Amino acid sequence: MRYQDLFATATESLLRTKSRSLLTILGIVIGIAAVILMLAIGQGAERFILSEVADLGSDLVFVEPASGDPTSGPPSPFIEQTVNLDDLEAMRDSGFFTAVSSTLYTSLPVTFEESNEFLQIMGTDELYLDLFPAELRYGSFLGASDIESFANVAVLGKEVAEDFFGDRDPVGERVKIKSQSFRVVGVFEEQGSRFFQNLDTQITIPVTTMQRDILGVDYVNFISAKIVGSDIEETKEELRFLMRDRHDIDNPHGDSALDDFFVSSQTDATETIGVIGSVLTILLSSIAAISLLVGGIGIMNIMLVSVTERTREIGLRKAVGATYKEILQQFLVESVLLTMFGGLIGVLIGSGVSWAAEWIISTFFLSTWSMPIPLSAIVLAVAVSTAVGLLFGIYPARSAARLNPIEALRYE
Amino acid sequence: MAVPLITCKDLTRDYVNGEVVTQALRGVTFEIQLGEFVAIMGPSGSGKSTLMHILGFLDSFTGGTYLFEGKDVREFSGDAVAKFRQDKVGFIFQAFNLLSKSTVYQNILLPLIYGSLSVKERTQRTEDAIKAVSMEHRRDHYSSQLSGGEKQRVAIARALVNEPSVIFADEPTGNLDTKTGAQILDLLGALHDEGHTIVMVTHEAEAAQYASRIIRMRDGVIESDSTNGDRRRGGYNK
Repeated sequence: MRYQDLFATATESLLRTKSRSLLTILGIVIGIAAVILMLAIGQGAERFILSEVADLGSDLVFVEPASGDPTSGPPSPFIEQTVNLDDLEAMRDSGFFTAVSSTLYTSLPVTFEESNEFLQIMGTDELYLDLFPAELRYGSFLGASDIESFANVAVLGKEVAEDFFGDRDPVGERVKIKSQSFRVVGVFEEQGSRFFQNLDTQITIPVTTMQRDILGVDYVNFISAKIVGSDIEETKEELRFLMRDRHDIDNPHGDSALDDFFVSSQTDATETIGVIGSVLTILLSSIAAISLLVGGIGIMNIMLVSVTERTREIGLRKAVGATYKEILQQFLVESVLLTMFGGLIGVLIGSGVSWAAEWIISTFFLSTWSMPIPLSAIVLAVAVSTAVGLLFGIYPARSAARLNPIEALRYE
Repeated sequence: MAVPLITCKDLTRDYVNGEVVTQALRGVTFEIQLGEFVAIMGPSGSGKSTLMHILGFLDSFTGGTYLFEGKDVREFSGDAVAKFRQDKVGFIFQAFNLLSKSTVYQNILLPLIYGSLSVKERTQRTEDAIKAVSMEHRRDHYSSQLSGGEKQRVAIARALVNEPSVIFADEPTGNLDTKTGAQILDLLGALHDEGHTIVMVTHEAEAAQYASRIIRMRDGVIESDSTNGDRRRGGYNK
């Protein structure tokens, strides 16, 4: 039997029961659409998170306080704050880094004349721009003397400046933070978000001023440093020795549970995100797999009904010379065509919903969200749906092919 | 003398249903030569349908030998039997067994899609078969739209299309009124005149009169086997 005849016969049979064929593949359509959507969401989330850390240089290391658990995340009030500006000085003197900068965060109301906004305040120093390059729209960034003299100066994020001052140049104006007056010395160009913080709604002031006059503390949230050379793992190890030495930690075997700090780099962050992404993908894929299983059982069920209904037809085909293999092939091709078509429709629907979701999320929630549909997902979806058709088509096709022609022809 | 088309010797067929063994054929011996028109007659339960199914490779037999064109059928199995059905025999059924949602053309083409003819050849053969039963005017009608007589003519065309050595007809007039039945029998007679070998199972004496030879069966054995010298010919003009 030629393949054209095989496909023509199968297609004709399926088209004869159009609405049933469509209902049959609904399970597969939903399953595949779910697979596509889930993979797109997983990929989108991973991409979004990665974009938040990816523009950090790969030659940056971070020191933050930690309490024994090496997997501890960002600084939190429950962790003893152990990193301070003395550590910063020691790192600057160590010769391992080309630039070292500190960061301290808080959130406070900021006022200019009548307007009042609750904003994130970042305390840092003059080397911040060496580590996280950014352009200024007006004025200049903090200088070394501002840090030394505990100056009341501020650099505004783009949106902050617009909210308070409109389009005009605000350099020289004064804003109030916690009843202290700060002179505006600069305004950033648009920066977008990093580490899930919108940098455009942030105010930057000298870390020293923030420690002494605003928070009354002597720690910083983390220290960032750019390494000399390219061996980041080696430098991280040297940094750990330096920190243990400074903090009087006896830790000859390098057990990070004993440290009161945690050294990380962008590579660590991306690796962690990669692991989270894989777990997410596995989870979502297993949900999708279950829906495909259910869809497959639906296909098998309908194909069995179809075999029973067409018993006489099968008997006749055998009587005019169809072999076991030809009957088997015909029913297998029918179920594979069903699921493959279902898979294609599923890909279309899944892609459509993904695009809609991407548009909604990026328009109303996260402007940097993008949700590409991976080509591999489309190939996988079609391959899986075809495999489902083959797998669940075998049993009905075998029962058709095994029919005795005499009994089949007599079947009422 | 040439090798007979069909040679049966002591053919038996037992149906086993649990403990009960039913002997449908109890030793049947006969030969059919190429070009004969044989009617197998007998009341229901006489084993005539079983015999025809065995002859047409649709059923297996329990004992004895069956040679088709001198070849022992027992030696064939599975695909070889399917190939025999495809190349050597054509079937006409009492209930027509057409695919109701396929056209006349598609129904007649059906046996050829399992064969190895080129598309051009099989199109030609199908058109020829449609002409042979005078159904050109219904070529693209669905078989569900046809009358009983027309359906059986399509079934005959389908049986002819693979140019078989023998055509088996199982009660071909059983579902038709007398007049239409006579037309179908005329058509079979005409095919016989053209040289086709036909084996027809019937319980109607009228129908059997169209055959050149009549085998009567009862209780699984042949009761009589005689030449019908006075074979009936209708005025069927094809």
